Amino acid sequence: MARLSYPSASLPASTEELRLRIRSFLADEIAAGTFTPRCDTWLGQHSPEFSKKLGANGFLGLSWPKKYGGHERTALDRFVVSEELLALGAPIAAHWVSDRQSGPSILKHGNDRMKEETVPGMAAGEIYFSIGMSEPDAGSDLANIRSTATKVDGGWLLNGTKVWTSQAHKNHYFIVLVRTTPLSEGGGNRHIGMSQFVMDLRVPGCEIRPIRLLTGHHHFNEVVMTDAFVPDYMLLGEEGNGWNQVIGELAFERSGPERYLSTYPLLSALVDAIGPNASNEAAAALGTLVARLTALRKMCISVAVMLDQGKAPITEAALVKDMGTQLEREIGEVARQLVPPGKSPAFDQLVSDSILSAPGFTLRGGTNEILRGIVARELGVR
Amino acid sequence: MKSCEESSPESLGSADMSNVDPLLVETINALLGDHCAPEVVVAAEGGMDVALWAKLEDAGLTLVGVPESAGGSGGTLFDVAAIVKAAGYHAAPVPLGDSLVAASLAALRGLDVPAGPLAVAAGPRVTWGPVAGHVLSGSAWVSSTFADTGTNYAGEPWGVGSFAVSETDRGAMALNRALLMAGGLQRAVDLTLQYASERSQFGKPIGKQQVIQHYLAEMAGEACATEAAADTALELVAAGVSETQQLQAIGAAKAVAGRAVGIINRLAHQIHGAIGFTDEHRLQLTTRRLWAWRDEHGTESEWAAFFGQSLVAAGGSALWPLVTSWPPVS
Ligand SMILES: Cc1cc2nc3c(=O)[nH]c(=O)nc-3n(C[C@H](O)[C@H](O)[C@H](O)COP(=O)(O)OP(=O)(O)OC[C@H]3O[C@@H](n4cnc5c(N)ncnc54)[C@H](O)[C@@H]3O)c2cc1C
Repeated sequence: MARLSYPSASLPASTEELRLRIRSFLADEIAAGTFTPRCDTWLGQHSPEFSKKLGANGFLGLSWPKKYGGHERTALDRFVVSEELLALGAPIAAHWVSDRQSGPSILKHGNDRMKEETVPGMAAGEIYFSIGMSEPDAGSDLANIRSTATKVDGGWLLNGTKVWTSQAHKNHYFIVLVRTTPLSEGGGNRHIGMSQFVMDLRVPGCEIRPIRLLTGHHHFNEVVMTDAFVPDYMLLGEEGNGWNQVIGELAFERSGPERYLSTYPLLSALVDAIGPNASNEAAAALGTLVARLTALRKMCISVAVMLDQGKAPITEAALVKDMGTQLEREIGEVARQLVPPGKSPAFDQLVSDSILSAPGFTLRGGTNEILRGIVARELGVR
Repeated sequence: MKSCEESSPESLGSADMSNVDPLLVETINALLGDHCAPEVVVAAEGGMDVALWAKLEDAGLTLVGVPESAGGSGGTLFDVAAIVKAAGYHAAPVPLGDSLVAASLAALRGLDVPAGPLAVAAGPRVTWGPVAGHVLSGSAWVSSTFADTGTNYAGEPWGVGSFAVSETDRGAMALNRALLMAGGLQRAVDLTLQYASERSQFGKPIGKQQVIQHYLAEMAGEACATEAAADTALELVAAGVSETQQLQAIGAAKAVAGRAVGIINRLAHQIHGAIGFTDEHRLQLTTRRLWAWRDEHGTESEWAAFFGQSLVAAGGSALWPLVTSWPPVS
């Protein structure tokens, strides 16, 4: 009988020193007025200045080689720093993708020149990456991408349109998934013939058009590539191996604590907003949220430990993301009913952050329906 | 539940889960799996399965968690938990979990551990009280005389009496129910997964329907979350954190478990169709127990309110330090 399991795991005591260090760093930053805690900051609060400070203080590229500006610590150290940043609602969107997935992908598949050009900058919090996967006709069905790269002298010409490209207007590069072999030559296997490139988002032939969120914010973009040139050494990994690489990248993308902590700053504020004279109903609603959060965190630590051991807990991560993103939304739903508007501008801001960003929680990085399909396959029914 | 200060380090281990003896897990599951056929479980309801108890006693499994120096089988809190989860998984019609808690608490309090099934008074209603030879009430064994008796949804007997009850024991029993539920919920998921693969309608297994697949994923998630919450509480108890923190974590575990029962039982029965609603089907042995256990020693909303009140009393700035100390670092 197929069964999912999360071997009971905890963080090693060796992570504690780093936790205290980032905690005191963040306390100082808040005291200095650098930022005010907000929800969903890993997606929405893009601050090069803050990311550079994190880099300068040694909080980025934690598990990367020192040779490339990293700190040769473990993925569990990164877990600790990540959760502290998320819990305090720090403005971390600029470096989030590069630190989480682009850096590790390039370190794994990239050549020396590519690594030298991009990784130290990422570790310093100075070079930022976007994700170039989705297209107008390729959302959940990512294998349906149409963008292409054609070989020319010294490099490749990229053509096609990427959408929902978060922060492409502010970031330096994206890792873009394109076809290097036409679909018709894949022998019916759509996963054959895709490749990944590291593309400079400022090259001629790359046009970045804003797509505004329902709040009016400019976060999303459409990235139109018209004969955009990418040099040979910016082919990431092997030509034709793009699908496997992208699946590997998604394992990093889906497994982290940002999949249940996006609205944590609101949860924390809710404790004080309902206060010590809370009714039992309010206390129970709060208690249920925190109880579920701690259970999910335990599961997520188990996933992080499995990843650190070189395993591929793709299904386990998908399930935590499914449950965690639902919890993130519920935190907003509970908070808005327990504390009527007008309590304080700061609290109202957190509620509004949560409600208005919630639709994205269960879509980005693979929708919950797709995630449940992954779980069902592992369970053997699909 | 008592902290480690009162226990010898050998008896109530560390937070290292690797020290659960795999042979123990195999033995208990094999023994219960062989014995707990549906007709056997049903026949024992209303009382207990005396033959099963004798087998467990012979195997030394009723005294795990009691130090050998006190006449027990030795073993850690995690060993006890592994047995309790197995009892929940197999719907064992004996007071195994309750008796293990009674025995280990009694040993911690320096009491002799009597032979035979034991129960813990953690409220006026004592599940298994009528079949237990002795009931632990605070720091004493009391004889089991009850003003009223009955059975829960699962035919597990209870008796009502007036007993001295401590918060510690209420917590220990709530954690015990969360662990039983972790086992039972996993069984409900396994049974449902199997059924969804075997039952065909419209020319294919119902498990090929996407909505059924999504239900199964949801069920699997809730079962895993329950086990994670119960393990977290267990690790904190073993680490000897303050009694307040132990009760918080136990409350959180009971809240997660009770909520999960609502979800998993609903979906398990929905996926099983009418057959799962009959007394002939194995599923109901598990779902009736889960419904009973979520009500015993505090419902999910009682514990969630307790937990929530402790959080608001401590204030928002205390929340993150609490979250990040669960589970304790290793
Ligand atoms: C905030 C945010 C940021 C994003 N950032 C980026 C980014 O930086 N780069 C990037 O490449 N992409 C990004 N995305 C895109 C994201 O990856 C896609 O939104 C996602 O993969 C879903 O694709 P879609 O939006 O086209 O929806 P669709 O795939 O069209 O799905 C629509 C609905 O149909 C359901 N559905 C589809 N197929 C199935 C199926 N087989 N079974 C059941 N239901 C199904 C989906 O679950 C969903 O509910 C971002 C999205 C969001 C919301």
